[in-house]
Amino acid sequence: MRKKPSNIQILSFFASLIPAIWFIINFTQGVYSSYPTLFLTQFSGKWAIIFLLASLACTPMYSIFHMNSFLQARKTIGLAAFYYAAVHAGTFIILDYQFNLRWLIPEFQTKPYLLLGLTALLLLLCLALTSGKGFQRKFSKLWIKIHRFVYLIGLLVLLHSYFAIKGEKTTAFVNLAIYLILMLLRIPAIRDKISLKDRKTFQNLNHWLNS
Amino acid sequence: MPDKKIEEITPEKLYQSRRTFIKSALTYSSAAFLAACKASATGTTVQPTPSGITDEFGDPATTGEDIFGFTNYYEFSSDKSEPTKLAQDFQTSPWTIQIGGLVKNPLELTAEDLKSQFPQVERVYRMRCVEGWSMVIPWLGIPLKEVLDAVKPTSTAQYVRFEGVFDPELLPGQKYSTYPWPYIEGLRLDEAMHDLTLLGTGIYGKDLTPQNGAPLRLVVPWKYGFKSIKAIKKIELVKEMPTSFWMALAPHEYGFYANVNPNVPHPRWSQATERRIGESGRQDTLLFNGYDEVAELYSGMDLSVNF
Repeated sequence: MRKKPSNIQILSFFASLIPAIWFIINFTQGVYSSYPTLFLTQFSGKWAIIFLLASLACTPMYSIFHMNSFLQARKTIGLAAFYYAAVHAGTFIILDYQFNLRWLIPEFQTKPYLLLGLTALLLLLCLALTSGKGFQRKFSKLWIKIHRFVYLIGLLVLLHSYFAIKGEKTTAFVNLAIYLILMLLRIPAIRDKISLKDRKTFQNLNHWLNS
Repeated sequence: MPDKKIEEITPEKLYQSRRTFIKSALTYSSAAFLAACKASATGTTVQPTPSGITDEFGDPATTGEDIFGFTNYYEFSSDKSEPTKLAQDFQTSPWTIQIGGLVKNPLELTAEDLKSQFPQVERVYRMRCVEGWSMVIPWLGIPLKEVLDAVKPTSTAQYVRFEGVFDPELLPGQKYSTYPWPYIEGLRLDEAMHDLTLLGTGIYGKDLTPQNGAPLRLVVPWKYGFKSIKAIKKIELVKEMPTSFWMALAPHEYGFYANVNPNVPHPRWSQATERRIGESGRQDTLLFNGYDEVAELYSGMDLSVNF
């Protein structure tokens, strides 16, 4: 029988739904009626990046606070990043360009950032398909190798968004800074220095989240 | 100077249908969303607006709801709907405009005086944004040629430089930003003198709303929308080609001419196709936005170099 989901799984699952619910409410109010596909593309792309960075934050959070509940949240948040990215690309290719290859192929030929985004999405798909517990147990070494691709995906996505943003690129630079900090926090010397010495500080919270 | 009122230059029938349209626009605003849903689900085009106003291609005018609610106005916000809210209290009267530079007869006058001293015409133009969307807008405006003739450019004048409003206290987008404010645009003198070029004063028979560039903006229908600078404070005749706001920011993306051209790709958006706001599906973008009569302005020029 399937195990009852833990509190952290329930929390991260509903947290990942909030942006989608927000969009649907606004959509039914007619907020995006002028150009629905544009708003959906930008909204889903923005949240795909936020969830991707959030998933990259889980491992450092686990090391710093000694809360393994972050590792459970990581999978849900990572899958959310994939779902929002899939909606993002699907809106562009299917809803906006109606899968018209006469229109799409020249765009991919003249805009390298679209290829960066597509590559990132396909890699995310591989991660999503191999995210199940079964795969992780059976092929644990391969699983680790495959899922290290998330670092590359992060870079591809940030480059993609840098070129996709019009005008001031502040958001892109902030995202890059967050990404770099999250990478630095993985370096053992840095990680060990800032991780909490007292492993018991958040033990009760961690226990509740895992229950 | 001719001093005509809107009513005199607008055929009564068209004017009446426009009244009806504005009324029905309110009624239809809630239905617009449902129409958009239906359209995107079935892949059909939304029915023409009840105004009956069309451009010379027969394309129906974009609804007032979309024209007034979906704008690019970075002086207020880079968001599409925020300027409509943020610009509501923006004072556009009194508003002084300077027209000078290399001219024999410089002018400094209010927007109201300008509107009463020069004839206003009504033109239904397509507006193609560089971002790959477009509208059909029933403008009111003064042919820029009339104003330029009045100030008498000297023989050394080759370009017209337009400067937008600069007031960081009132324009939140100008307050904390690295953009090269104020907004600057420019036209070659022959482009500025072309019959299609307007100083826009109104939309749908009424004065411009603040979010659409009140009280006075440029309207150049064969160029990408960013050329049509909003809330103009200064018009100068100059010798050298002005550097526009977007050229200063990203010269490889935005050229001086910025003619609508499906054959010159932009690194970010499609220039081959566009989405008409309020309709479903995309359509092919036309060279010069379909205004073939301007082609002679660029004969012998390589438009992929002079983009």
